[in-house]
Order: sequence, then structure tokens, then C-alpha cells
Amino acid sequence: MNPNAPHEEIQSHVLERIRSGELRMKPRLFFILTTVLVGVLIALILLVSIGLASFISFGLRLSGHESLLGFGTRGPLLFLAVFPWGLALIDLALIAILAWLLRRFKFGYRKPLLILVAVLVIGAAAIGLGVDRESRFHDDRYEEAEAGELLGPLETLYESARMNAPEEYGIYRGLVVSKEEDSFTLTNDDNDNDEDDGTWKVYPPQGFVMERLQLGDRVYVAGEREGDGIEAYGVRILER
Amino acid sequence: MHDSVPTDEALMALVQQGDADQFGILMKRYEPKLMRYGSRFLAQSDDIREIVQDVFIKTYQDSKSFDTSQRFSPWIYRIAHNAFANELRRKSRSPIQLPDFDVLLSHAPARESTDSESERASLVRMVEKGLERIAPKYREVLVLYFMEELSYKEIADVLRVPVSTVGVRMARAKAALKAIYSAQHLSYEP
Repeated sequence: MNPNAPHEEIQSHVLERIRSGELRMKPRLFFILTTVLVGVLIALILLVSIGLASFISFGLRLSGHESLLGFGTRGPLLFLAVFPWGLALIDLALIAILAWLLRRFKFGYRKPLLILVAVLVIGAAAIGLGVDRESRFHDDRYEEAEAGELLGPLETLYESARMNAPEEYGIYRGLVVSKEEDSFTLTNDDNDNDEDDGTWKVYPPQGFVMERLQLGDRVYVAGEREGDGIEAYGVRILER
Repeated sequence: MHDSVPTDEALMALVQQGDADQFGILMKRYEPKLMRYGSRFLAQSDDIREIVQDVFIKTYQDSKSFDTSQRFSPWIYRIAHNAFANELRRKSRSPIQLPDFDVLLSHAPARESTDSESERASLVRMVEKGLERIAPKYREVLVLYFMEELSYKEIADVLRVPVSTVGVRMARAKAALKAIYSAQHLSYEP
């Protein structure tokens, strides 16, 4: 059959269905509501994505893991090992959904997909970082979780924000209990009741200013154990 | 004084006000075009006819979402593209689509070719003859540009891809056509 030949039956069939009332136009309100719904969904996903990025930043700050980025050449590699990739993957999945939704609109599909995704990833990460560093939003929620004032799942989430200090990677976190000229003693208790709990003598790296350290400070240490001492290649005093 | 032919957009404005007869005129105008467009996707003319009918139904149902200040043809081709692409996916043995790298990456801005009327007519003839051997995604831009006379921007709106991607696909489609013609020892005059 020649596909270019006129097919009266298609036209008459469709017109018949229109005239009989079987086929109706969707009201304009339907399209307005759909667009509004997609807009709200986009805004919600964007908010959750930024919230997750800022939560990751908060967790890295709270646990002290972000210090690793300043610990010479070994630190950044270790940072990659302790980074919460699970949360980051969830955030990336949200951004993929966001990019898919944005491609319904002209400004979304007119841009190459890679650029759209890169803008969303960098934008969400930058705003998330800004939210964490410039506001006390997560700090306040964390304190509420500690006081048991948050809803169940949120409380669990914030309780998990203080990530472990994994001793298998040579990371220790604890309080300074005594101080000498070239070393200090640290109580390491990461609540896992294993053999690294207890007190450790820490030898900070060259260039570390011991005067900055006060008794009772909470510190983050990366180093290698030698006997009951730790030869640190990075030490940082934590906020809390 | 002559009677001016109402534009597609003017007809759609009347359809939106409830004048179903004007939709009949639009169907008359677009049925051969959509049948021809569909024949670039599917081999069975019965399937094509059924899908073209579905395209008209969807077009009517969604009439009120059409902005009459925009061109009608890219809008209906967008509906048709979705319908035919869905049918192709349904018939495909592997429904999982691999990402299209043309859409992922950034390309140099696309410039539409400035072929003269006679060059364009000759290209249309060559496109018609060589189409079947070209991959569907390249075939589609050739059909929309040479046969349906859509601009690169309008094709980008139909396919929902960047305009530069349309340019890249067009260049590759022309290269593929040239290769086909060279293999057959025929002359190619783009």
C-alpha cells in the first residue's frame, strides 16, 4: 500500500469520535497543573539534593574527615576512602532525575546533557557547601537529634553524621589529656570497644605548633601506630 | 481579491475554541506528511496508519497546550516522533537504550546550509533514494530538514536535542549519503 495515498478513514474516524464526544480536549488547567506539578517536583528534588550535599559537608566537618585534605599527599587519598560515597551516589541519582525532568523544557534540552548535569552537580555541591559553612542549620538539627527532639528517621540520620574514625586507615579521634614539648596524649574512644580504645601518645608532624593545643581539645589525628605511640602526619583541632 | 489559506496556527486557534471541522483540515494537511515521516521508522503501512491516527487523537486531546504564537508543524512532529519512537522501542529486541553521545557532548554551533532551490531539490531526490541505508537517527534529521522543511532549531525541538547535535547529525547523514553514492559510482552534489 502506498503510504502517501490519502486515507479518508483516519480523518473521518477521528472526526466522528470528536463529534460523538468520545474524544475531548484536555482543559488548559490540566496542562497548567502538570507544569506546576513538575516545577514543584523539580524544586523539591533540588532542595533535597542541596540538603544532601550540605549534609555530606556537615558530616565531613563534624567527623573531622575534611582535615585529611590538608594532610600532605596521603591525606587526600585517605579522604577518598572515608568519603560517604553512598550518600553521594543517592545525590547523583537525584540529580539524574532532575536533569531528566529539566529536559522537558527548552532550556533543558537545548544544552548538552553533560553540561546540564555538570552545572547541576557543581551548583548543588557549591550551594550545599555554602549552606553548611554559612549557616547553623545542620548544627542545630544535630543538637536537636542529640536532645531527642527530632523525628525518628531524621534523628537516626543526624546521629550517623559523626562518621567513624576508622583505625584500620590510621585515623584517630579523641581528647587531649596531657601535653609535652613534642607530643601529647590522646584518649581514643570511637565507641566500637576494640583494641584501639584507650590512650595513645601522639607525635605530631614537623611544623605543628604545640602551643595551639589545649588540654581537653578534641583532635583528629592521622598517622601510623608504633608501639603505644602514633607517628602522626596530620593533626587538627576539631570544633566539637 | 483572493481567499487566503488559513495557517495551521490559525486553524489550531479555532480548534481550541471548539471548532472540530478545522481539525479535519489540519488532518488533511498533515496525514500524508506524517505517513511519509512514519515510513522512515516503520515498514508496515498498517502500523503507520494506526500510529498516525493515534498522533491525531493525541494532538486533538492536547490542543489546548499548543501556543498559537509558535509554529504548529514542529509541535505535531514532536508528538509523531514520540509515537513512532515508542513503537520502534516496543518492537526492538533490546528495549534498553544506550545513551546517545551526540546529546551528551557539546559541539560547535550548527550553521544551516545555504543550498539554492535547485541544489535543494537535487538533494531531496538523493535523500529519498539513499534513505533506507542510513541509520534511523541520521535518517530522521534528513527527512525533517529536506522533506518536511523544518529549520535546525525546529528539528532540535522535535527531537529535544541541542541545535548543535542536529548540525552534527546532519553532517554525518550527508557523509553517509555521499559514501552510499560513491559505493554505487553515482555522482553526489551536496
